[in-house]
Order: sequence, then structure tokens, then C-alpha cells
Amino acid sequence: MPSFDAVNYAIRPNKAVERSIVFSGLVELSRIVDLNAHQYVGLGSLWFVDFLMAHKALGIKSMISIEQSEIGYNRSEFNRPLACIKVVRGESSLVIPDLDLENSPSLVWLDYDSSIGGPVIPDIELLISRCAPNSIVIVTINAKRDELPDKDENDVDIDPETSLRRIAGDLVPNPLPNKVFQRQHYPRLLCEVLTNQLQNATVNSGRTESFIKLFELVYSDGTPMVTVGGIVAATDKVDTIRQLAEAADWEGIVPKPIAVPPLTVKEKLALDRMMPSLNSPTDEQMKVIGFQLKREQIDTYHKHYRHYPMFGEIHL
Amino acid sequence: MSTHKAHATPTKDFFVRMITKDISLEDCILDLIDNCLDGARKVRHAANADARVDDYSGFYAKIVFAGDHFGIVDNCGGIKISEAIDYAFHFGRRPNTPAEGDYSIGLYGIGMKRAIFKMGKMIEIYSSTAQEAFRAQIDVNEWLTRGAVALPGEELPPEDWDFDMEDAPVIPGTGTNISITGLHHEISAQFANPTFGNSLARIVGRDYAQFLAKGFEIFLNGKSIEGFPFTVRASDEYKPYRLLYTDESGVEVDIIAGMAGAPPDDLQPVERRSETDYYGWFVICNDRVVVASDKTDQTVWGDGGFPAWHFQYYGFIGVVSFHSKDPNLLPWRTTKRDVDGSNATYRRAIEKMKDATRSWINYTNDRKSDLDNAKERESNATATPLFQTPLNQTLEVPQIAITARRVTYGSIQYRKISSDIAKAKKLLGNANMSNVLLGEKTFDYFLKNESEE
Repeated sequence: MPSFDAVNYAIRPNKAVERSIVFSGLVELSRIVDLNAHQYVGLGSLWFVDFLMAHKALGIKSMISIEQSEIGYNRSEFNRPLACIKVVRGESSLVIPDLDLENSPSLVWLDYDSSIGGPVIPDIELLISRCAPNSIVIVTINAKRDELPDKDENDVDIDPETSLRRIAGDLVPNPLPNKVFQRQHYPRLLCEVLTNQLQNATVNSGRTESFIKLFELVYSDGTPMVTVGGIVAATDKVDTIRQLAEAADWEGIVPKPIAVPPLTVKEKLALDRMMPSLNSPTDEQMKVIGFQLKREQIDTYHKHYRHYPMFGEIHL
Repeated sequence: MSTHKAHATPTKDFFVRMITKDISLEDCILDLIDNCLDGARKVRHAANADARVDDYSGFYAKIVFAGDHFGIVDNCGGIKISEAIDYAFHFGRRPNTPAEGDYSIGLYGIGMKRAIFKMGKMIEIYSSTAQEAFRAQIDVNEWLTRGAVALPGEELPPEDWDFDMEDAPVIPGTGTNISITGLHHEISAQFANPTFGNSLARIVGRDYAQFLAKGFEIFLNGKSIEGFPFTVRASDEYKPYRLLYTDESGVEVDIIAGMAGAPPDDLQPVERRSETDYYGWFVICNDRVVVASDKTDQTVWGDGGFPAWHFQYYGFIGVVSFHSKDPNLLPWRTTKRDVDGSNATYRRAIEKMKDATRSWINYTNDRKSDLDNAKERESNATATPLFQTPLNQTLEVPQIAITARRVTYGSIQYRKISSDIAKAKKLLGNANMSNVLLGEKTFDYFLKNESEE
């Protein structure tokens, strides 16, 4: 079942936070690298939320959405919210080689349903090897441990390390620390594999630019997902972009998984009246406003409140 | 008639380019590890001059690298000042070099120079034995241009090839410490690529498995590397081949061959399989892997009338080990990543390796006549440590064709969209399943649900 039949993309709160972090990061980046002339390439599905943000927040006017399935393609065409979006039908790995990536920089965000065994590793190479300097490549994949096959092609059991090495080879850290295949650590392991592939593809294609990681986010709305991305920085921009990405207030690289609490409108507004604040609200302060949350929920909200979405039901 | 003297001395620049051109960065680092191992062996030999060294415990090589530097630190005895002056820094080995330690692997005396010139421009070496220590700082650009200035009307003076060394305080138990900065751009890019470190760790774990098993420790950027556990499958029916003999040259030869993994179902190349790094022939000289997982005519494949490597042979492993006190007798070339195919000892071993390989080739043909039967028997063979294989004159495999059931088979082939194939495999519970297996399972599923029997 395609994911657009399973979930309404519009109401995944942690996804919304992740997307908002990425686009506010890109807005900051656009002070160093002009992004409004970039071409946006994504997997828009039926919702095109990222396309709308790229258009509104960054002013991008040239956009391509890749859609694999036939039904998806028809519905995607129907739902396309802007005239400047072109929907191209086909598998990402077959569409990317036909894209014009060399002549002007692109902002590519491939938000896959698949995991590490899907097209992500070869797709990164296809993108990084050809894209113009200052292009940005971001990928999102699902990080469910169960997606990693536990048998080989002859149906013989294999351990998770063997399985991952068959998929990702030397992109997998070697030697591998213990416990990385535990459910809570596995998403970070995939982040490392993806980062390695982004770096590796930049060096291996003989590029003189440097890859700088801007985003590493783990989030879950039921299914654990990871997002990793960065910029193939032209030499004259490397230092300033590095400064930006390594600054203490850079939000794109978040060590903890994004798991914001579901809040009512009233709760959100009450918390927001205390923001911004240097420290997360204390238990005392929470008592004063009149409702309780778990400590980690308060901390997560404090960290991500600027990106916290509210959803409502509309009767049409 | 006037005679002219031709200058036959190579320039430093030419020399440096030549020795660094044909070696990969990985191999340079392996060369440096070889030097550590030779040092460790000399220390052990000083205590007991006889026999191969089978215990390297307590010795280590610690390697660090990043975008801006490379370093290797060992505790393997250090370089004597006299050796450093006369040999270690001399290009190539002088004819009067004292015999390299017995069973040595650092054969050509060029490894360290080649490695450092390959990597960078600023080099610092400190080495301490128990009695004496020295420090050398080399600025490669300065060294390359030094002394080569001719006055008008005069001949070019001979180039100054020497490196400056100074005495340094002795730190007992230290060894040698090499640090390289001013890395060349492409070297720096490789060191900064995390994939390089992962792949180096894999190569080190495989090529030094024997030394690591004997207690030597290798650290890459602080992480201790484990040796690859070479295994071969054995059961009552599958018995790996092992032959030990002393060649007429005096070199000891040890040949082991057998089944490392089950052969594939599909006779078409599938996606990259990481295990293939461990199939094929390995050539080992004095415990150092010289050729790994070979599938070419460097070993038996396609050599003379012998069959070339085929996908069907996946699962086969063969290891030939040569040991000699005198490393010059071993069939290796300067990079130590290449065999000398004309070496007579090696030619004689090749013939025996072919015998061992031939029964595997025949087996992979035979097993096709009753795949299910073969697979079941293969799965009963268990992985055992390769280097503990008992002596056995032939590679024994079961006679599949004779026991085959008396039924006829047909085959079916059809094409489907890859994403649908992937989906079906996932529904059957194994995304890695071969296409052949998927075909069989879906066919069986149909028969089971639709036939009335």
C-alpha cells in the first residue's frame, strides 16, 4: 500500500516539526547561498507540503515532483497546487539521470517510504556526482529495524550486521560498536550510513567542492524516520557555511529524536505564553499554569515550540 | 673523437613520482604495518633466533588519519641509527644490506619512503631502540630542490639525496613514530571520507588475520581491528582439501580449499554481495595476504586450459600459504599486493591448487541436477576455522547426480516489474530472496491452493 493511502501527510506532528526545522534552516542558509534560483526536486505525493514551503519560504519557482505509481501520478497531477510544479512519472533512480542538474544548483529532498535497502544509496550518488556547486541534497528514509532483511537469497538466516553490510558495504562503520542494532540506536546508525554516502559520493566523483552536513533528524509518527542532508559547498562558501552548521544555535542537527507531545489548543497557548525562555519550564511553573506533562515532553516542546503545528477539522 | 658522459642518475623528482605512482594509498599504509611487524619479529628473534614467530602479543601499531594528518606509532623495537643512515632512508636496498630478519615481509626496503612521499610534504620521524634514538624532519619540497643549482658554465652538481637526522632522547619501549602533514589534496580527501576508513579496516582485518590471531594489535583511529575469521564448511560429506609440503626451493607450502558458503541459486549476478570479498583464491607469504579473493589468472582461473571464474563458483575459498626464512624466495612483487606468476615455486603450487579447485567446479555443475538435495546437504556442513583444517588429499563433495530423483524437470522464465518482484519477496518474508526462490515459492503456493490433490 502506498504511504499516501495509509497516512494523511498533513497531520503528522513530528513530521511537521522536522519539515519546519529543515525549511527554517534553509532560510538561514539562504543568507549565504541564494536559494531562490535553485530548482526544487522532491517526491511531492498528493500533498506537496514541502513544495509549498519551498515556494513560499524560499521563493523557488522551478519545481519537479517525481511520482512512481500510475494512480499516484494521476492524482498528483490533479492535486498539484502551483503552476510551477512539474510532475514526472517514474522511479526516482530512472528519473534522476534525465534531470538537468549540472546547469544550475538544485535543492533536492527525496522523502522516501522505503528504508536503507531502497533506492536511496544509488540515488545519492546519481545526484551528488552531477549536481551544480551549492546544490543541496536531503534524504528521508524509514528506520524500522524490521525492514532489514534477516535472510539471504537462499532463505538462510543472516545477522543484522551482515544484512546491512550487504546493502551498504563500506558505508557501514567498521568496526561496528555493540548495540547499534537495538531499536533505539538503529536510526542513528542509518544516519551515519547516509552521511557516509553523501561524503563518499562527493569525494569519489572527484569534486573539488566539500560536502557539509546541515541536517540530521530522527522523528517518529508511528514509524521511525531519519532525515540527513547537506550542501555540496563551493570552495568560496565552505568556511561561512561550516560556521553556520557548527554554531550552537543551528537547529538542523538534533541529537534526540523529535517526539513532541500531542497538545490541545488551550495547552499550547498556555505554554507559548512562557516562550521564548532560556530554560525549559520547571515543574513549579507547570503547576502554576495548571496542567502536567512528562519532563521529556516539556523539554521537547521547549526545544521545538516554534515548529509545533496545530491541526483542526474543517467541514466543507 | 670526443666522448660525452651521459647523465644516468635519476632526478629526485622523477624518482619520487615513479615510486609513488603505482601504489594505492591503502597499500602504502599496509607497507607501514609490515615494517612494524618486521620490527616485532626482530625483537622476538633476538630472544630466540630459530623458528617462525607465533606470538606477537604485546606489540601494536596505532594508526591515525584525518583530513590534515597521518600518523603511525608502534612499539616494535625501533630503528637503529646505523640502519637508518645506511638502509632505512636509502632508496631501494643496498646490495650489502644485512639479511633482513628471518621470515620478514618488508622485502624491498622502500615501503616507508614510498608511503611518506605518497601522502604528504612534511614528515617527522622519531624512532627509539633501547639504546639510542633519532629524529628526522623532512620537508619534501626543500629536499627535492636542494643542491641542484648549477653555476654558469659548470656542470650540474650531484643532487644531495641525504636526509638530516639528529640524535634524540631514548624512550625505552617506544619504537617508531611517523607523522605526516601537508597532505596532498587527493590523499586528504580520501582520509576525510569515512568510507575510506571502513574499507581500510576491512582490508586490514582480512590481510593481517594471521598476525592478529597471533596477538598483534592494530588500531585505526583508536579502534582495535579484529581479524576476519576465515572459515570453511565441513561435514561427513564435505571435506576441505589440505596439503602441506616443502617445495624443492625449500619454501614451505600449505594449501587449503573448500566451501566457504553455499553456491548461488540464480545464475545471474545479483546485487553486490559483501561475502564475495572472501571467495576465490588467497595467496599468503610469511603470513601476509598478498592476493585476496582472486578470481583471475593471477591464480588458477583461466590459467592455461583451466576454466575462468564464473558466478557459479561463488562459495569457494582456497588459501595457499608460502613460508620461508628468506623472503626473496617467496612469489611476491614489490607492492606485496601482487604475485610473481613466473616464480617456479608458485608454478608448482598452482598445479596442486588446480586439482583442489577442479572438484569444486565439477560439483557446482552436478548440484544443478538436484538442487534441493544439494542445498539440504550443504546446510548440514558447519563452518569450522579454516587454518585448523586437517590434512586431506582431495576436496571431497557428495555425488549429487547419482542420488538424484528419477523425475524430469522443466524451467519457467518470465519478466515482471522490479518493484512488484520486491513487493512479492517482502510478502513472502524475505526481501533478499533470489528470483529463482521467489518463482518456486509462488508456484508452490499456487499449486497448493488451486490443485485438488
